[in-house]
Amino acid sequence: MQRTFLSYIPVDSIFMKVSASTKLSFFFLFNFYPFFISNPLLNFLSGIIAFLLTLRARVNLRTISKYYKLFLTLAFIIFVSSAFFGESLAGPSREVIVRLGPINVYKGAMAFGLEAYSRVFALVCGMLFWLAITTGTELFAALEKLRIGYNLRISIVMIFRYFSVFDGDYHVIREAEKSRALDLSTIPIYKRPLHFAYYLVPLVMLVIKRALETGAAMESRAFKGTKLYKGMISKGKETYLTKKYYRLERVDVLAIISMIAILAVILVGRFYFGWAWFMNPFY
Amino acid sequence: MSEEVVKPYSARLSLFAAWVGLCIVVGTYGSLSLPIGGYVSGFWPAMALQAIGGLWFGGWGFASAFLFPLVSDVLGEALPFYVAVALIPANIVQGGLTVVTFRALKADMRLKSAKDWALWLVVGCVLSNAIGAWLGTTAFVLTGLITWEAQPLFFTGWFIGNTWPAIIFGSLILKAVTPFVQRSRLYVEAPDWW
Repeated sequence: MQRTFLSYIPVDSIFMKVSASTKLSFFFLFNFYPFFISNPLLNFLSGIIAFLLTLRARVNLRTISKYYKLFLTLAFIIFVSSAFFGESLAGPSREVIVRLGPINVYKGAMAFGLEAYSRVFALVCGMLFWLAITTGTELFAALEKLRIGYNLRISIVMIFRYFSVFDGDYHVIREAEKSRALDLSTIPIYKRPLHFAYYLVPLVMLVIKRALETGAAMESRAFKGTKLYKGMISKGKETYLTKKYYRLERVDVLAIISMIAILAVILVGRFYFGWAWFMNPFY
Repeated sequence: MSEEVVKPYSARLSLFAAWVGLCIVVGTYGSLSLPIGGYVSGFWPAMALQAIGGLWFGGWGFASAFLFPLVSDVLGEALPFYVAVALIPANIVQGGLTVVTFRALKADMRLKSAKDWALWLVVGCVLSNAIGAWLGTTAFVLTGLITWEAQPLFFTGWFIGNTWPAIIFGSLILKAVTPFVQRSRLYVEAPDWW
């Protein structure tokens, strides 16, 4: 098994053979699609495709299943807010589909909520797929190939790496608090935020410790940091990482061209031809 | 011959990445723990880290203050990415005003005197969030998410959701963790920013 940003993937998985540049292109291009598509059905479809690709990659789903549960919370946030704040989101039609006591639930607001939720669904599924199949080395090699400066590329890779590390730490602290009889799920929702300090202070301390350890490890490997902005704008050079890990096969080129073509079709169809199937039909 | 001071840029670069990662996690889970809807959370503890980052780590913390919401706003607040980008000015104020004021007025971030407390509460918790909430909700209007009529409601939600975690958690973390940070190589002491 190979450790990725968010999970583990078998070394013989088909996505371990995919070029780092293809994965990076997926990250950039797939993140653009939902913003130009207003039709919730298309966005749900692209989210499902991303999820099926995650299954096809044989990713260890146990490590990322908790993120899929967030969809329920997000649905709650988006649809409840669309109902309660509906007046400002309803648009010109003002058609009321149901009345909940003093609250009017507007058709336009719920259509907007569905559109927003489908976008988030597609984006999060795409992001989880990318995080679950990409390793730090691959991302580093892909950024190196683009001649991104060393400071910038190491920062980008570490941000993604740390995100999953601290996410793990957060859950370790939660379990530790539970073993000491503090279980937030048993506390009324209005009291939960106050207990957040029990997580926050240990997390802050862990961040500082990890940063010091990583900094020492970087220096022991002859890395010489510079001021943030100086290192960010300097042009990068290829190192042994690109020579060892980077490859670009014909199938990768085809995949990248296909993704660019899909984006081009979406942009031209939406803004030049105004195709109706990119618009939200629920308004 | 003058002695060149070698600054621990490697450790600070690592800290920058780690701080952004932490803020993304805290911003996302904090927002999800008490949603009040309408793209605004009733509880955004990342605000405490946003203000503290600049105080402790100077430019490194300040830079992370407006970078991490690009991810956490999308995951935790269900905001489209282009709206998260439009919120950068609000996050710059929320992350920068406190450190600029503390440095200009030579206040102690360990909150030792009444002046330190007053600056932290008035500028760090109230003023920076009031300006940030106004800029943020104006960005909501300009990006077409809400109308001008709804702005005061969203402003109130944003302001309250950011201010009370900053007062409670920010004060606690500043008092408890600042001495530890100041002894570490990561602390960026004024007037230095990097």
